Formats: sequence, structure tokens, C-alpha cells
Amino acid sequence: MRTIYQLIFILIFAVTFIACEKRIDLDLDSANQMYVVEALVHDSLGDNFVMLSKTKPYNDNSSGMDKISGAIVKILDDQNNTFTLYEIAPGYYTDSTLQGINNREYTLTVSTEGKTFTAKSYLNPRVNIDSLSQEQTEELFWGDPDIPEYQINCHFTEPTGLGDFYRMKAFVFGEQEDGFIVMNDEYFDGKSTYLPIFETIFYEGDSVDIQFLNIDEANYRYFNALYYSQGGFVPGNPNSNIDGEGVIGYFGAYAKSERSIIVVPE
Amino acid sequence: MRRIVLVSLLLLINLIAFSQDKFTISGNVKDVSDGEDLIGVTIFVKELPGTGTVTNVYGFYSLTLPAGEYTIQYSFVGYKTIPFKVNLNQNIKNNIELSNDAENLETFEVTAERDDENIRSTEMGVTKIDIKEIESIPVLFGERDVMKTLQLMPGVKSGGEGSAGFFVRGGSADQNLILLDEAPVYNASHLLGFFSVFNSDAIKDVKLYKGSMPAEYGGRLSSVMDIKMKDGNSKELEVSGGIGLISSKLTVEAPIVKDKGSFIVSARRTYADMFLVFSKDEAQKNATLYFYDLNVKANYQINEKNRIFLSGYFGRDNLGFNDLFGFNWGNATGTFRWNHLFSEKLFSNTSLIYSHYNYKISIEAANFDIASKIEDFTIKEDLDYFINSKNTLKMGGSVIHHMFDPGKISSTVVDGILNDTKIENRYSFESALYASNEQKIGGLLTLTYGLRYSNFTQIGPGEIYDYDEDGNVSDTTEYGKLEKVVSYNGLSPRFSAKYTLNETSSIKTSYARSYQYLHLLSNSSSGSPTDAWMPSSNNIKPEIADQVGVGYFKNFKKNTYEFSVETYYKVLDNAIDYRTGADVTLNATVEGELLYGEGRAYGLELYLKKKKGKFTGWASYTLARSEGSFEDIDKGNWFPTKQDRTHDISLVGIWALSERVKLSSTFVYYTGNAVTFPTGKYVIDNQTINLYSERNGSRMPNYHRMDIGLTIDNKKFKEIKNPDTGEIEKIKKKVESSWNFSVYNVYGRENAYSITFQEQANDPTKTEIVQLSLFKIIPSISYNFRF
Repeated sequence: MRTIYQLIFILIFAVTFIACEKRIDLDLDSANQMYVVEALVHDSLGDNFVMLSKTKPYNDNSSGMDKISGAIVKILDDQNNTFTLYEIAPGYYTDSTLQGINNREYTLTVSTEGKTFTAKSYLNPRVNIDSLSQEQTEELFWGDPDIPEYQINCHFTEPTGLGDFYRMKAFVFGEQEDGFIVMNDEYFDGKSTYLPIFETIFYEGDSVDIQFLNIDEANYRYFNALYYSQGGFVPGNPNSNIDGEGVIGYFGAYAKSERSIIVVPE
Repeated sequence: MRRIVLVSLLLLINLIAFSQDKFTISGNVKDVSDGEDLIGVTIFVKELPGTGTVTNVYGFYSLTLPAGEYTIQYSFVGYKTIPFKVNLNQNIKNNIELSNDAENLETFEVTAERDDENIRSTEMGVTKIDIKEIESIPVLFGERDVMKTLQLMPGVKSGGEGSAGFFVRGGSADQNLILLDEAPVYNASHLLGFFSVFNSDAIKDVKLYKGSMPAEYGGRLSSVMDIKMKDGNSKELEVSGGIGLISSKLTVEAPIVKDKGSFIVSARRTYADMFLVFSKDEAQKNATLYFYDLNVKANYQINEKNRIFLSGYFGRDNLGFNDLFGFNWGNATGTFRWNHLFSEKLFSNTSLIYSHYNYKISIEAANFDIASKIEDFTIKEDLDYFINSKNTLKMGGSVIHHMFDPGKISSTVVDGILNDTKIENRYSFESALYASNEQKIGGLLTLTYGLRYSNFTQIGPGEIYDYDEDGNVSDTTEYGKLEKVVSYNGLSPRFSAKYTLNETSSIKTSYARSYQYLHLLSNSSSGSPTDAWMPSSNNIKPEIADQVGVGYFKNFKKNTYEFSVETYYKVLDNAIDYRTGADVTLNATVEGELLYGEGRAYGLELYLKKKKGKFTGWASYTLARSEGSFEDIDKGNWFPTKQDRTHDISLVGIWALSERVKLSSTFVYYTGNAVTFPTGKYVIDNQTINLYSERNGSRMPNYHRMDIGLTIDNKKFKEIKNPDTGEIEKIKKKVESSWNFSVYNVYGRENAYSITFQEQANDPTKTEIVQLSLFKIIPSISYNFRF
């Protein structure tokens, strides 16, 4: 639904070209520093990691976040398998032997600075991308009309039965694109359909990877709330699925289907 | 509660028992030039000081006096007072037409109320807008707007830059009941809030109750904005209109049968998108952006005892981009009314009301539509019983059937990308009964007391959800057609008193309780066409407000100046707020996104108005607070609501430079809204995320702006040399016209419309704060005519 609003506001502000934007400085209150946990287990090898950092004041533009080193990080599944993750870069912990298995529940524990954080996430069965397609879009309000713009559609067949949740991520030349795309199957339950990667505009020659992720409800709610809370309507910190004192972030066990496409001129 | 009912009944019996050898004079009061009913004309008896009445909204009055000879005076400011001598030895019908007082008109603004109405009436917390005054006040794009003029009054706050939305005494925007000829208007803005749906050419009277709502109104907590459309000229054909930079309008009024019936048709259309033709961008040229509206009304006097009215409104906004995307929305209302006189003392009005709001979004690029609507049917009966010269009793009741269609998605092609999906309709009945009496006690004290009973019943068919503490669906129950899901009752006592201190001052006090059964879920601060109205349900309890107020009213220098100070305290129960990151659009389980808590608001309002002379205008100041407390937000700590504004100042000045030229200016200043700004940041998925601490802990920058306007009336008279005498004679021109120039935001203040916290485009690891300002110095011009 959010694309509709973007469109409306683009239209309105384009029309009221009297509007003006400027950068301002604001004195902002500083809150207590919080721990940030970002943890992912995929049903594939090699891309499972836990990142630990701390928040910083909004107006602090010194580079990078404060990383948390020396933490004890473990991931367990419900079949009593335990994986201990090693810090291979400051604040970045991983175990190259860890591969998530569908229909298992995973538990994360992090111990650092005398505190312990725990979280659980359920790894659902994978839903495969059937194909990716490209489609030239009409210029809206910005951009050079001489440079064609493309939309990429992700085609998939959704299993029948309500209560499934998905995320889509787009990577262009290996760089992750901005935006959080999450959805539930309310509008396309059991359907063979496609959805556009509506947060990103693609150009000719782009080498694009799309990840289609089957996620649990807690992750769906977290990213949905993250999106809406950043937009300014009800600003706040989304409910995290991580338990512990002074911690924010998420732990997700995702079933991942991935495909690539190179955008070619039409 | 029972005691209040009992006392009211006793008082009633008391006053009915007194009738003896008395007669009634009654009738209608109209304007002699166009036959419009005059609302609020004061009728008093020269021989019995302190005795009198006022005409009701249909221009009807009734006064019962002991037999005798009297001089009855009909008085309305801006009109000549007419004395009427009568020997009251039987019931008398006296319809009367008042004429404009030409001498008064030339020297000062006409105010549509008695000079000292403010100190005489028991009403407090009431704002009246004079349609004539609106004409000279400068506004954005030169488009006159009652809703924007109202925002210059104490206790009424603008919803934001250029917005027609408003907040009353710390209440949210959905706590205002907006009635157009009794029909509720669910979305009163055009073009996302820059214009209101009310075309001031078609409006006769606007009244805003912000404190002691009379018992005949209910259903909203903060205010009632009661708008009455013109009836139409019943004497002769009249055409008026205006041409402006952004819109044009035309109004035609005429008698159906002279002095017995008339009609009015008023239409308006904006053409903002015509500017797009000049745009360099090819895409912008193909965009659509306009609104139009149409007001229609007719009335007919069948006989002495019966009169009927039919009125309607239809308005639509259209926004589109090529054949990729279309978005249109609008209201439609219809009211049929029947006035009937049961006797010279008992006036009845029966109304059948229809109100409709819908929007439709067509995403043609992806071949699907989204549509949503609201539909209300109301039947309503109101009785005015003019018991005697000391008591006027009002009573009545209403039943509303509500239908809410929260939204459906449908493919426009076979086998589209989405399943056709529908969020289930919600059905409910809202009904009310009320009685209220205005009683004069001695010469100095006047009381208005009443009671309103309301009931709200949610009915099937539909699947009804229950939610757990975290807002997840815990249970689903299926209900059949018309089956009761849940029912709420409310008893709202209403009371106000006025005590006259002396000829020029009075004190007033009031108490009112109100219930609100419909709640607007909005995902923006300024309001959007897709905001969802949610009826009370098994999950959403009715919101309740109790408000007390005290005021002091004083006129000085022979009613040249009017001064008032009012203070209020308001307590809210079952107030509604949202969970962090709530998604309120097209969400079947939106009730799970809501939080319930309490609220409080209090404030002080000062108002000084100069009503006569070459310079007229007013100054208003509000000092206020509005807070909420919710268990799940900041551990239940009180926090300022987004409409909390500490200071709010409005200054309005109108100078009559000459008979034909008027210069006007307004200045507004208010404390920035309470908002939640980030207090820190972190990174998720390689993207900077804002960290927040307490809700609404920061403030937008303070807002201020000055506008100026100039109205020049073209000459009303032609000068012609009389060929016989050689003298120059003045002949009235057929066409009256005027030019209006205005400049919005004269000194170009960049007021913050929004403040965005974002990653820097060239270095995403750094962040920046960007302020968007909408209107910097907007000049406009319009031409208005009448013949």
C-alpha cells in the first residue's frame, strides 16, 4: 500500500512546486545507549551471522557504529544441536558449518558485558522463486526521460492456507538495496502470482539478485513496524523478538530462495 | 443520574401547571430582499423587560404572554428593528420580513447577531462565523473558507499548514462532528486538506460548539460544527459567482413560487492541474488534479403549517497520472426535511438524512482497484416546544444505520496478480433520545439543562475477532444478519447557566458529557482520504468525555468591544492511540493495532473583538494543554498529544479605507506540535534506523505567518446626466462586483510542514535532517460578481 502514498505525495508536492526543502540543524535529546543485535540463520550454508553493535546519538556523524567484540554467541536448534559462532571481524560472528533446516526452531543466546540476550525464530519451509521478469516503467516525476527505468517482478506460487509471511531483498552488483519489503499472504493466498520489487528502480545492465524469504510472523511484524515507524506516523522502536535488558534488533530464521537477472534493453 | 432526571421532570411539571389565560404570538422572520429565513432574531416585549425569545434555525418563533396590549420588537443587527403593536386577546400569527439597515452597512461590518448576544445567551464555548466577515479575510489561493476562518478563533487550532482540518480544545480531528444541513460529513477536506468541502457561497450560517454542546447533538467529544445551507432567494432570480486563480464558482438562486418556495444551485471547480500544462516535465502535463462540488437546495411552503426542504451536496476529488494510476474520493449527502406546526407553540421537524463517503484507487498499471465506502441512513425528529415566555423545551430522537466498507481489492482483468480480497463490512445502529429546557429565572439567571441518552449496537453479519494483549487475533466468532454483537449505552447530562452581572457583563458555566462511537484511524497528521472510520465494537469501547467550563463575558463602549475569557477542563475515557509502527490502511485486523487509555485537556481562552467602526477585527489567545496516558506507551506516563499546543495567537484586522476599499490582515503564531524525534540511530540491514525514546517528547518549530488582503468593490452606481434638469443622478448598477487580492505568508516564513531524518545521499553512513516548507509567499487574485 505504501507505494500508493508515495505516488500521491510525489504528485502533490510536484504540483505544489512552491514547496522548498532545506537541511536544518536540530538539538536532539540523547537517549541511553542500547545494544543492537542483528542475527540471521538461513537454510543455506555461508550466510549465517550475528552482528553486535551499539546505538549512537543521532547527530553523531563519525563513521561507523560501535561494534561489540568478545561476546559469547551461540545458536541452538530444537534437536539439541549447538553452534558457537566466532568473531571474524569486529562485532561480526559466524560459523561456516551452520545451515538452517526447515521446520526447526532456532534459539540465539548472546552474552556480553555481563548481560544475556535470547531470541527464538522458526524456520519455515522454502517457497521458491519461479522466475524473475523485467518490465520497463513509465517515468513518473523524477529522473532523466532518456534513461529507461525498469521494474523487476518476482514470480512465485504461494502455498494454499493463510498465515504465511515473506520478505524480499534486492541486491544490485552485490550491494543490498534500501527498503524493507514484507508481506503476508492475505491478498494472494494459494496463487501463482508475482510482486514487483517496488522499493527499487533498476537500470539497463544491472546485475540483480533477488532473495525471496519465508519468514515467521514475529519477523514480519518487526519489519512491518520498522517500516511504518520510520515513516513518522507512529514513531517508536518496533517490538523486538530479542529478550534482554536494553536490547533492540531481530533474530530471523529464514528459508531463502534466490535468483539472478541482468536487466537488458527492451 | 436518577436525581437529575427527577429534578428535570419536576421542573417541567411545575412550568406546565402555570398556564392560565395566555395567548401566543408566533410566525416566521425572513429577509425582505431575498426571503432567507433569519436565524436567531431577537424578539422582545417593550412592556415586559427581560421577556422574549429568538427565532429557531427555520426562522420560526413563538412567544406566549398574558392577554394584554404589547409592542413586540423584532431585532437583528444589520437590520432595521421593527416594532409591532398588538392586542393579544387571541393567538396571533405574525410573519415578518426585516430589511437591511442601509446606513449601518456603509460604516461598518455587519454582524449577524444582536449587539450583546454574547452576554445574553446561555451558550458558552460557542463560535459563530459570519459569512460576510469571511469575504474580507485573506486566505491561501484566495479561496474563502469557513473552516480556515474558524481556526482564527480561540480554542480552535489549525491542523497544519494550509489545512482545513482542525483541533478543538485539545481534541483530535475526528472528535469534531461536522454537519451540513444535518448530514454528517465524514471527510471535510479537498485536495488533501488544503481546501474544505464547504463552498462559502452556498452557506448561510455556521456555528461551532466547542464547550457545552446542546443535548440535541451527540456522537463526538470535542465539538459540533453545524453548517446550514442557504435556502435560495424566494423573491427574484439572483446569480453570483467568482473567478479565481485556482477555482471558479457560480451560484443561481430563484423562487419556485414567489414567497412560497425557492431553490439554490451552487457549483465550484478548481483547475490546479491547468498549471501543469506549463510544466517542463512531460509526465506532469499528463497528471490530473482537481475537485468540484455541487450544493443544491429547494424549499416549499405547502401551507401555513407545513413546509418541506430538500438539500444535497456532492463533491469529488480527482487525482490521476496518465492511465497508470487514478485516485478519486468524495462525499455525497442528502437531507429531506418536513417542518410541521402542531400548534402555535409546538414546532416539529422531521428529517431523513443520507450521508455517503467513498474512495477508489485504480492501479491500472497493475490491473487492480481498491475501494472503500461509508453509508449512513438517519431518521430524526426534533420538537421545539415554546411553553411560555420563561421556558423553551427541545426534545427529539434519532436512529442512524451505519455501514462501513473498510476496503476491497479487485482485479480489473481475469486472473490478476492479487486475489479479489475484501475486508468485511461493519454494520451498526446508533440511536439517541434527548430533552432539554431553557429556563429564565428572575431577570438575571438563565439555565439550560438537558439529558441525552444514546445507544450504539454493533450488528452482524460478519466475522468478529477477539485480540490478545499483543494485538494478535485470539478468537473468531461468526454472526448472522442483524444479530447483535455488542451494545453500549450512554447517558449524557448537559447543563449551562448564565448569570447577568449588569447590563454589560455576565458569567456562565457549563458541564457536558459526551459519547463517541465512531473513531477515525489516520496514518498522517494532516488527514488523508484513505483514513479509516472504525465503529465501536467488541474491542473498541466508546470514547467518553466530561467537560466543565467557566466564562466571563463583557462588552464595553456601547457594545463596540466584546471581550470574553473562558476556561475549561476535560477528561477523556477510552481514548485511542496506536501501537508503534501501526499499519491502519486496508488492515482486516486493525483493531489489534490500537491501544486504549485516558486523556485530559485544559486551557484558557481570551478573546477581544472590535465590532464597530472603520477598523474591526479580533485578537484571540489560547493557553492550553492536551495529554494522554496509555499503559503500553512509555509505561503509562502522561505525554502531550500531537494536537497539544501551549500558545496559540490569532490577530485579525479589517480596515475600511473608503466606502469601496477594504484592507485586511491576519497574523497567527502557535507552538509547534508535539512530535517524536529520534534520540539516536543504529544500523539494521545496512540501513540507518532511528532510535526513539519517549512518545511526543520533542516539538516542531514554532509556526507564524502573516497574510494581507485587499477587497475593492466596483462602483455600485452609474452617474447619468438627467437630460431634463442637467443634474447628475445616481442609478444603481445591475451588476455588483468586486476584486480581491491577497498575499499568503507575506514575509515568506519557512514554516516546517514536515521534518525528515534520513541518510545523506552521498554518504549513507551519515545522516541529515531535512525540513520541508510548503508555501512561501503565495499571491492570488479573484473577481466576484452578483446580479
